[in-house]
Amino acid sequence: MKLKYILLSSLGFCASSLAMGQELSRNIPAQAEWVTLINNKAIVQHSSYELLNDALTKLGAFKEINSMHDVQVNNLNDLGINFDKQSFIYGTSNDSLNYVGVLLPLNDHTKIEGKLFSTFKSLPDSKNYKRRVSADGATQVAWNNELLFVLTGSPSTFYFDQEAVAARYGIQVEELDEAAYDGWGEAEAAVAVDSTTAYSDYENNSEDLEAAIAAGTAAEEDVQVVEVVEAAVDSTSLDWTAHDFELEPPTIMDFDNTVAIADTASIVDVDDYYANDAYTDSIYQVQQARAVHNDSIRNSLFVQWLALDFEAQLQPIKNLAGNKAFQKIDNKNTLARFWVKDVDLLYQKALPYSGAYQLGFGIDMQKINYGYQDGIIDLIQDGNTLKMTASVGLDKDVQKIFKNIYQSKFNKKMMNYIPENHLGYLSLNINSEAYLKEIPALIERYYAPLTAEYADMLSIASTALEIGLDEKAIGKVMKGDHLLFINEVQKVNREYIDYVYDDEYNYEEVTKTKEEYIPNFLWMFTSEDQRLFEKALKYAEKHEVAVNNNGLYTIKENETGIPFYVLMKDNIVFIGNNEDQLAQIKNNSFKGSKDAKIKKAITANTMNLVAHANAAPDMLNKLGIPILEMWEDTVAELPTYGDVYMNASGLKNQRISGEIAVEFPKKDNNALQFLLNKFINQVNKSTNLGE
Amino acid sequence: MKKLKTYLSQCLLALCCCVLFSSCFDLVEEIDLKSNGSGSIKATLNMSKSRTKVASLMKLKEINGIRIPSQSSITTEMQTIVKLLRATPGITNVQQHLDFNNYIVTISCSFNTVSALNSFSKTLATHFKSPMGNTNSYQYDSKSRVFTRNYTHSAALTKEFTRIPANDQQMFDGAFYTQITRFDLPVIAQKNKVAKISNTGKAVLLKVRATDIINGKANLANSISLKK
Repeated sequence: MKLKYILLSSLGFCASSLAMGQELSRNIPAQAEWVTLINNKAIVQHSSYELLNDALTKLGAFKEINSMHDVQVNNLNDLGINFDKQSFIYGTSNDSLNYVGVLLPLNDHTKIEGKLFSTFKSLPDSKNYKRRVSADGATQVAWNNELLFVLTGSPSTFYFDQEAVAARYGIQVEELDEAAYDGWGEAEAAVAVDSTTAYSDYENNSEDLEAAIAAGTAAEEDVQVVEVVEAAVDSTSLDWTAHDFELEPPTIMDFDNTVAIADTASIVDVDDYYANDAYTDSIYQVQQARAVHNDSIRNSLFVQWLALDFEAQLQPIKNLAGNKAFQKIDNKNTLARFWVKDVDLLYQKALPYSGAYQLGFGIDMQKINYGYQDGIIDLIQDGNTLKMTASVGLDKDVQKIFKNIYQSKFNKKMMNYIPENHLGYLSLNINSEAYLKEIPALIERYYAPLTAEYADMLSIASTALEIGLDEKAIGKVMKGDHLLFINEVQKVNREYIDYVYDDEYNYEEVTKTKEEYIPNFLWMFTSEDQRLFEKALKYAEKHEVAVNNNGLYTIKENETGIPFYVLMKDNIVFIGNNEDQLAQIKNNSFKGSKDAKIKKAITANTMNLVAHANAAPDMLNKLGIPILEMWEDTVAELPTYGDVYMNASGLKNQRISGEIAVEFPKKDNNALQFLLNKFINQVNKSTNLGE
Repeated sequence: MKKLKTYLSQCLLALCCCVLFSSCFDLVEEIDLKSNGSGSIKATLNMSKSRTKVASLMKLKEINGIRIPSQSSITTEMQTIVKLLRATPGITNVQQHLDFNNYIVTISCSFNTVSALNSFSKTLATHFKSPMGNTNSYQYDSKSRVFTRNYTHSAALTKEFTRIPANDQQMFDGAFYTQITRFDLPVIAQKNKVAKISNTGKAVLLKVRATDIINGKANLANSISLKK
């Protein structure tokens, strides 16, 4: 249900001006951990209402809304959304719950009143906002003339798994049910008694749902009732702070005195549950009963807390309007922006409750501190190119480490050996010497905080590594700049086994050859000290694995049946499987590409991964690689595509950044129109096939 | 021998999903029949001509709805076949070889009577739920010295084949099925129009395109008369 509301909210991918966008960002609480900005205006301008309506119709979005709300919404304009403003989706959380808030700009609030949320229960107006709540109480909405606000979320399972918290709220943890493993009978009885006792009053209260809603609303304005609530739940602070669970907790029997809306949807009669469940394993049944019991408590608490926090979320005292992430945005081309307040924090929260790791390995995952600060991901349309750019802020210590690692000049001599025809390439440019020197710092920074008692040992080990390695010497062997090109496919002779027959049709196996295409590659890197490679090649020559042809070494056929070649020239080591190409480099007859775009990308970025998509179909055909049916149309269309690429531009302005991009065909005006039309055509095709 | 047919179907329908997408392969069936009705059979599936493609296909789990067997599942399947063979009365000396470098699969066994082969074929066809077991069988009359192969085209095979996209069907163009039958007595006559008698007169060779078998254009039935 919640997802549907979020889906509905995402229909707010509609547009706005920067100034107007800032107005709505005032409604995002300052403690938001992540925010998605949807630039509705840019999206509409780069596509069209007609195209968007068509795509959403094909997606079934309007049908979904109509079935959810028993209304007739046939296009975006029926939603009353202001497409000149930005929409926002944000997330906040504390140790016990997670909220997701959706802010949609409106230009006709009557369409909300008349059409949407018709199945929701009405709540009394609050500060010029009309309010409604879902039947299960887990979603509340409010709107005025300018905005629609939807707040939903979920309780944190990890929080309730803690022993003290579980005991406080009557959550059944696994350890408490050890009896279940000794005998199902006792456990079944225990669960049945617990559940029926806990919810008998609950069910009675469900009849008074509207009264409960009214009580909930009143609670926000009536100090007397708030006091009751304070005694009953963890926190009633309206400026949205963490709940104080040191206060006297409520018992489940207290629910009828709280502002909670009964979670009727989650009330399940345990005995009925067993009767209907075909699964007869007793432990499984105990676990299921426990899950039903615990979910009901968690959901009920969540409903109470959401009701209490709604006002603070709707009109936060401190907001994100002044955040640079929402001020500095290319309003014309940025379609959407995802902002994360603290990437390290996101890591920590994404990890499971770390008790097991700490107990088992002494690793405290909650102490992750990679030095990552805020993160920004932008979806940008640049003509027919669609880009996703990402950047992460770094703290000073980590900045220093990365600055040293990325401080490296690309060997410009390698630019002379860019093959004219290639399918794609990978370039990498880091400072090997600095990287090796920074390894101890990286280890201490990344891993020592996690390992608690082993942190000192890790520090000693990293220092030993630093002493043991001669970074400068290793840096000379491999400087850290690499170029790998996948050239065009080339014909090679491959052996296979066939049969010949004698006069009695006895057959004999014979080896024949056939022509096959294989992709060939050219890898080059700077090496100012090539002694190690020279000695290794001489060793291989001595053991007849390699053949030296005036400095061009042939490494004999291996399992793949394809030999490869090694050449050292001008402080560069070349490795490839195209003998002609290596020979040309050796004889100074190699004709390199003059493409300035490639050279610029290689020198400007620390990493590039580029595939020339238009060359792919021919290569796939020559290599005989089968195409999945679902990809046939796309592959057939690839000759009209440009490049698909990914790059990382290193450290700039205290941030590391990179981007992924696809150059779409130019048959449509821009990338967004191409994608929408492709989606619509794909749905039409599937529909026709279905018919 | 009927085992071979079943084996063929197995290769086409299960183990050789790779074959479906490899350009060329050869399936060679050799039968050495003694005048008393006993003998040996060896079947070889050779995909070495397409080994690069087969190797890349083996890295996929499924393509266009057709499951691509892994190396371990092929090995397991082969072990099942061997187990069934060894459990079949009248079948002995079962041997198999899987060469995953050249992608050549070989299986061979000895049989006491031709009917032992037919019963094995039935068992295998039942195990793999293949219709092929009912469309192919062998007979040998030691008195008249006539060796007969009964063959009926399986419509199910054609139906399965039509489910493969047209582009992929073309990949079968370079695939052949070869049957060699050797005797310890000279061959007087054979009735299959495509088959040939060897220069020594003691063997018969039949080589047809795999697509012709699948589409019912090739007839594998034959009746070979030996000198009494």
